[in-house]
Amino acid sequence: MEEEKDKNASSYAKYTGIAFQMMATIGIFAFIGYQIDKHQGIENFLFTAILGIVGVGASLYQVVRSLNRNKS
Amino acid sequence: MDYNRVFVSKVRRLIVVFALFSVFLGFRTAAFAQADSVAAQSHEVSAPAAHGEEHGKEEKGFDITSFIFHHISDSHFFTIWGHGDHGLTLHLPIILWTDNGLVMFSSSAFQFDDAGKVVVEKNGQRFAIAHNKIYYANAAADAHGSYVSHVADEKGEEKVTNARPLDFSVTKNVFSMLLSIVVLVVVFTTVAAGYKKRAGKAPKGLQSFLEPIILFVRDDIARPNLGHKYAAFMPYLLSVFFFIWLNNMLGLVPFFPGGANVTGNIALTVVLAAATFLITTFKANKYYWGHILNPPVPWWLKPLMIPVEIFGMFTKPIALAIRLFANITAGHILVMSLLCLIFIFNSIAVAPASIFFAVFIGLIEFLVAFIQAFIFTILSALFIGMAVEEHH
Repeated sequence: MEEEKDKNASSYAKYTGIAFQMMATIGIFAFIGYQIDKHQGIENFLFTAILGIVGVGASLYQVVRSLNRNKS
Repeated sequence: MDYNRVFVSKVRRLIVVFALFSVFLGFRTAAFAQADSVAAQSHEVSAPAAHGEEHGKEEKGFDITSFIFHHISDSHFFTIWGHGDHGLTLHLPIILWTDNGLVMFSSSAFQFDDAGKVVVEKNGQRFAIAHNKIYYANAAADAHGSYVSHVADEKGEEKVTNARPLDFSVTKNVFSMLLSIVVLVVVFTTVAAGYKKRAGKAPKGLQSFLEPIILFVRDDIARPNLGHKYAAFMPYLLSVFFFIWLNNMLGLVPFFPGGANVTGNIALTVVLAAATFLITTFKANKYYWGHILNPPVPWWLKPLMIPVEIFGMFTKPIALAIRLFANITAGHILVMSLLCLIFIFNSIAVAPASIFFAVFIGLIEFLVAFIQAFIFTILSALFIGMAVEEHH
């Protein structure tokens, strides 16, 4: 029971954190893409879009990994 | 004391969810309000003199955005009551490292100016203050009487182009931080002395108030996440927990010496998160680095996953910093917005509803103050725990 409760509190903290972590991951990727676009002078924000999508994938990977880690 | 009840009980869980949800709502509104103010500013810039009458009318209205952002931003003086010359203000020292060395003077020299209109001459140099930042003043004032040069960039945002001295001033936030450090040192040396004096006996006074909270940090935060190595990280976790909690609470006090938005300042939260990042990185064992540099995925995925893992090292503390900053700032903005409704509608009839909701959110903020300190500490413990855990 005691352990169950501990797990509750700590997973509560972890899952409130996941959204912000996804945001930060996507944000960093998109920011790098934006800088590339600015540096290369690309008008249609190609790299921002591509790296934004990659960021979404990366953040999903992080979430899946942290969920799997919790199980073991 | 068992704080898990907060998360276990259904009613309280609902309150927590509602609190977090309303905090996010508050943050979104603020983002829109900010966009509005930018638009309004650019409007002012684009039409400076031609719409003189209109401009005068606009200024009569209550500018809620600048009022709220003034409240949540740092400042060089501490208002105790009233406003400007009609109230009582604690002027904090301004400490600058300039081209000619150290310069110190009281912020009263600026006479509550915040638009670069007052020039202070010290040590053969001239300073002006605009938007709470100190600049080297221009030789002559521009059309608006300001001694700093405003230039609108391509997005229409106004920027001050003057050079700045290095600013080491004791601002409102620094003052509150020093105050909370003094309080924490006094309180915890008293408690430590109590344990020494009454070794093995029941705690007394302040000691018996803080013991359950310290044990809560140890048993509910450190031990489940760090295992048997928890003792080495207890000083850090306890310091961070009590520092954030005390500053969150001080931020909720609407009058001196509270009211500074310390934990809602991105600089402070970034430094705290950087401390967690440094501990995680330097205390990490080979399993942690193994997971990052050689993740357990098929070989063809490795070129993609290794950068993602390395990003993960940084995104975790960044998320930590942004969450604390966003939650506390959003709470302050929400309470201020609710109170400002009275002045927007310009009617006393709105006051009961507005005050009711402000008090309600204020009470929820007490919960949020604790929860955010708890979450920051437990996530720090979690990240450190992930770095130091032995492989199973």
